[in-house]
Amino acid sequence: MSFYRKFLSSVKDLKSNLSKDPTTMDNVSGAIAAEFLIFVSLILAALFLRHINAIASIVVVILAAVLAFTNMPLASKVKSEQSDSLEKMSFYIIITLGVLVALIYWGLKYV
Amino acid sequence: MNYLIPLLVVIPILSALIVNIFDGKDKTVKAISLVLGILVPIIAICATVGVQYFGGHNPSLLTSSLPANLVNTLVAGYNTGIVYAFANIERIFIFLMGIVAFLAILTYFSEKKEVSGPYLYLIFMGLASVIALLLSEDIFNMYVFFEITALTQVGIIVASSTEDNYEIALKYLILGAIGGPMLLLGIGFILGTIGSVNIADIIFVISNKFVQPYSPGLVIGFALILFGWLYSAGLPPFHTIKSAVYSKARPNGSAILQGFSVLCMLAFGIAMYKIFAYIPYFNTAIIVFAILAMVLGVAMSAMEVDFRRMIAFLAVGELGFIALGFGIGTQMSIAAALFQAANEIVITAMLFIGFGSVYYLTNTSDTRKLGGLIGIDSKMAIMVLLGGWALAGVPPFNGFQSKLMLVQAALDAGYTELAILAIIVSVVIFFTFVKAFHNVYLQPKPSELKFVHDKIPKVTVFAVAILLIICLVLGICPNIVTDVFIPFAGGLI
Repeated sequence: MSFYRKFLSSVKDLKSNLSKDPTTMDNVSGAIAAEFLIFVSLILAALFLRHINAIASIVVVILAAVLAFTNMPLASKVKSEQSDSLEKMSFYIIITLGVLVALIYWGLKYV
Repeated sequence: MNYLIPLLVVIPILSALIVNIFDGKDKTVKAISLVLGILVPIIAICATVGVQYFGGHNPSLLTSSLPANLVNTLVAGYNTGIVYAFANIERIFIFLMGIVAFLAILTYFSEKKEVSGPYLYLIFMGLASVIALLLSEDIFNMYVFFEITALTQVGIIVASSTEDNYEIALKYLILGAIGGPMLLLGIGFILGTIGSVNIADIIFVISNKFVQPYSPGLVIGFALILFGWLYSAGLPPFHTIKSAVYSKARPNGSAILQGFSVLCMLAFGIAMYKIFAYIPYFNTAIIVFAILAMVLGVAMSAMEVDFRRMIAFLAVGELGFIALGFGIGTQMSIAAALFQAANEIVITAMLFIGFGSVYYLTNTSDTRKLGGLIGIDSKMAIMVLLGGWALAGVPPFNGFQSKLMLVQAALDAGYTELAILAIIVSVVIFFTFVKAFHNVYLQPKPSELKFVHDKIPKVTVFAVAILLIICLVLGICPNIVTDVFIPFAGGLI
């Protein structure tokens, strides 16, 4: 039941975090759909790691599930990071460039 | 020589120049645009499959005239000029893009009394650029045309006169100043390592081990080109700005812009696949970005209250499906990705134009302020609903066929979790679309809702109907395109 209460309170948080506009059935249903989608896709993406290493996949699935549950609501946090703010967009673009170049350049040295 | 191949690029450029010259003479501009606009899909149908060597630089014919010190060397077989290759896959994509551009222009004429020459110039220049991008076998030439496409995209937003359009255009330019140069730098690394920018030459040199396949130049080149590909397609982390770009253009402009993005993604995706597929975890890298695009795009659209932004995010999510097909990397999955790309060009254009009619009527895209529009034009409402079903993958439409093909390919390749994810994302797309449809068309009309136009122009209804018919035909007879995509994908892997 504690998981249920945790989920219920996260939905309440979601309503308050989502927007300052009057909350309607539409935007709550949208946010819950987004929440489930993000949660499920996190688990499935972690499961995808089994093609690289099965043990790592099990560890990451458990970690992802625990982190996702303890950080709900995820949808509103993801939404706040996906704004049209130039700073946030530039930040993620630079981070991606750095990670891509570092992973591919140094990663392939060990091939 | 097949002169129709270069004409596919020359005609839109010529159209761009002519409509700009005649700006102010509306009837002339309209006539020229319609005649030259319909020529692109017609030429795409009529042109025979072939290769165009610009300047006559056919390497097999030049061998005898080479200096003695170059004969029998590696560079003797290099393509020294720009090469365009036109096959049936290019025919399909250029035809579909040409039809979408033509219908978008037609819709623009019906919705604006005074037409803008510069706006049409940007549309035609963008069309010429993406066609050149698809045809070119030269990665530097592809980059040049991609940059022209990106600039025309900025121009189309600026010319759209919508709220905050200048700000988004400026942001896209700034972020493009990171993505574009990185792509060029990657191409520079490849040129420095291989000595050529022709895709066939690069593949020949790598596959025959004339250079080390994991040499630093090639590896860094791959990383940067992959990053540039994300920028060109609008995959994460560029998905936010790309969706903003779509939502700030006029609906007919958005229909064209999303087509440009799909073609840029395809052209660079195919080039990358040809050159770098040997690199370990190449497919994994693409799958990671595909999952991010699908999940972030669709999750954001589910929470969106602005229907233009919602469709824009859905368009980004659909790009994720295309990337997923490439990432799985089997013949069927790549064919499914190509089919999905063809479908997205048509379906998303239909939704932008169809839902755009709501913006035309009310001058708002906020679903909270809308309602009851099924009473204004029920035919359009039903067509938009069917378009949404096609997007979500409901039979008998084309989206169903391509998504089914993709899910089957994922299962066959052993990626069960990706198949499940694709299905879940499709379900959320369906939910998102039905929610928006209910808000705009079915819920009671708010008393404060004001109309700026009384009815939807017949031409707009016609454009949406044509696109819906294409969706239905491709859904019922998918082999029209899959018979081309499956062998092409087989040759790619």
